[in-house]
Amino acid sequence: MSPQQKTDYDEVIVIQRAKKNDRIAQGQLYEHYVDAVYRYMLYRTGDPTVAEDLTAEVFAQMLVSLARYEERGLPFGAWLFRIAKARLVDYWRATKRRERQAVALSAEAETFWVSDDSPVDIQEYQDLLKAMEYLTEAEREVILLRFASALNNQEIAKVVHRNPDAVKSMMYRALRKLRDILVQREKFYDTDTKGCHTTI
Amino acid sequence: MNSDLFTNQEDEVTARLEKLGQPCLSATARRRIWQKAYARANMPTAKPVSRQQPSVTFWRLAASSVIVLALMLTSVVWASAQSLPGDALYPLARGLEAVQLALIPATQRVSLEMQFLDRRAMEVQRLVELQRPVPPEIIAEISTTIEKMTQTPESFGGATVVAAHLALQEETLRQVTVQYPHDDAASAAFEAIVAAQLSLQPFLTPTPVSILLTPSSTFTLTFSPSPTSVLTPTPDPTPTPSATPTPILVPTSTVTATPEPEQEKTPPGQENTPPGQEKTPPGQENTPPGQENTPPGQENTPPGQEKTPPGQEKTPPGQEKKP
Repeated sequence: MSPQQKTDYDEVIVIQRAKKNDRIAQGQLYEHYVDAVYRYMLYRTGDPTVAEDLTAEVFAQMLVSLARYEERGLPFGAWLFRIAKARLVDYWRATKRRERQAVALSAEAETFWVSDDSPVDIQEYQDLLKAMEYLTEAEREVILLRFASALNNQEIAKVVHRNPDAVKSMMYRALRKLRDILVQREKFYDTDTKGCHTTI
Repeated sequence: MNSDLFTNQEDEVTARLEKLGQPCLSATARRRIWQKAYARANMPTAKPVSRQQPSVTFWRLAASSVIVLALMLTSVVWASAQSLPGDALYPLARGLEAVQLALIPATQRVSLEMQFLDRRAMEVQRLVELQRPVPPEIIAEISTTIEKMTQTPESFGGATVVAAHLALQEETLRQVTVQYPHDDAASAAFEAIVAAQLSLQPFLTPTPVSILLTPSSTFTLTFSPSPTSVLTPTPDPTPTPSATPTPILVPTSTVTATPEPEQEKTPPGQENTPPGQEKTPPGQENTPPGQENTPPGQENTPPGQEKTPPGQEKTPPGQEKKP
């Protein structure tokens, strides 16, 4: 599965052309994956500017290393997200930030993206990211790769160096946890709102 | 996309999470990121191979630099240790001595100070040998240290130790005064040392004084051949049964009685060999153990009586108890 399904996009052919330094094919690969990579970076760092820089680094690395890429059981998306993960680790190391640190989505993120369906409610994303703080690092990783970057289980397994079945069960556990967290939170806010009404 | 994995219970959660994948970059941001990526891809630092090469080169350079610096430092320290007053590296040697004195425990400092004093004496002697002028500050330093040692000899290991060091300094200053008779500082220091030695005389025990303060007695002990040393030849580990002790007996006893004057000029390592034994004929050097010397009880027999003639070793049967 690829991040964005397009009818005229044949990844194998595009990669072959891109490896021969075809600028148009390289641009097609970029267009195909840039949103997925950017969202992954944004939800992990919370800062749209940093996410943009890291995304640029990932594609710079892609352009440099593309000639050496061979499929050999590693899908291109998984290969690209391995680069993304490595760049993210470099960023955390350089800024001496901890991976577990809570991510607060910056309000500037609205100016960077557009949504196809409806106006972006940044608060909704904020709530989801807040709930994900209760997940383990590995669980958060697979949830974001799945839902923010639209990778399938096989690709996620290649990125996180795990068995696809292990990824599947981990994701199941993470979803149950998230469901409980979100339900508890809604209950809490409902009670709080009712309490406010009664006092007013 | 996720219907194959999740049950209805998680549908609501997955529906909310699907929204994480909805936002897309604006065209402006998309174009900007692509330009950045292209620019970085063309920079040499963006290549992973070129990132690793400088690190390997850096570590190689660093390691070789450290080795070269260590070698240079070692050679400079060694050269400074060999330097003499007036040399370019001499201040470095003195500085290292000061550092040593500062770092060493207080209990060992006195010993080190005396070691450095002896080193000063050696330096002065070397200067005299090379006919180079002796700096007055070195003489003054020797005088000061000696004065300190004489005042409190017990803190420098006792009068015997101090006297030993004074003897060396006296000899050194004597050489300076002989070489440079007009050097008043050296003459004064020499006189001070002689006076100090005299003041230490009552505290000295006889034995160490005779050895340490009178070098002539040492020479006497070295050059006078000891009779015991002459009489103890080295046994040879490879015996030859055919050799007989007879030819060896005569020269051995002769040497024992009258040591010849040429013995003093024997080369080192042969002082204890009797002159007569060096000229033993070939084939007789390897006498078996116990046969190369005179038999026990016959060492001091006079010449001509060392051995009974053949046939008279044993009295014939029946004549032993005759008066």
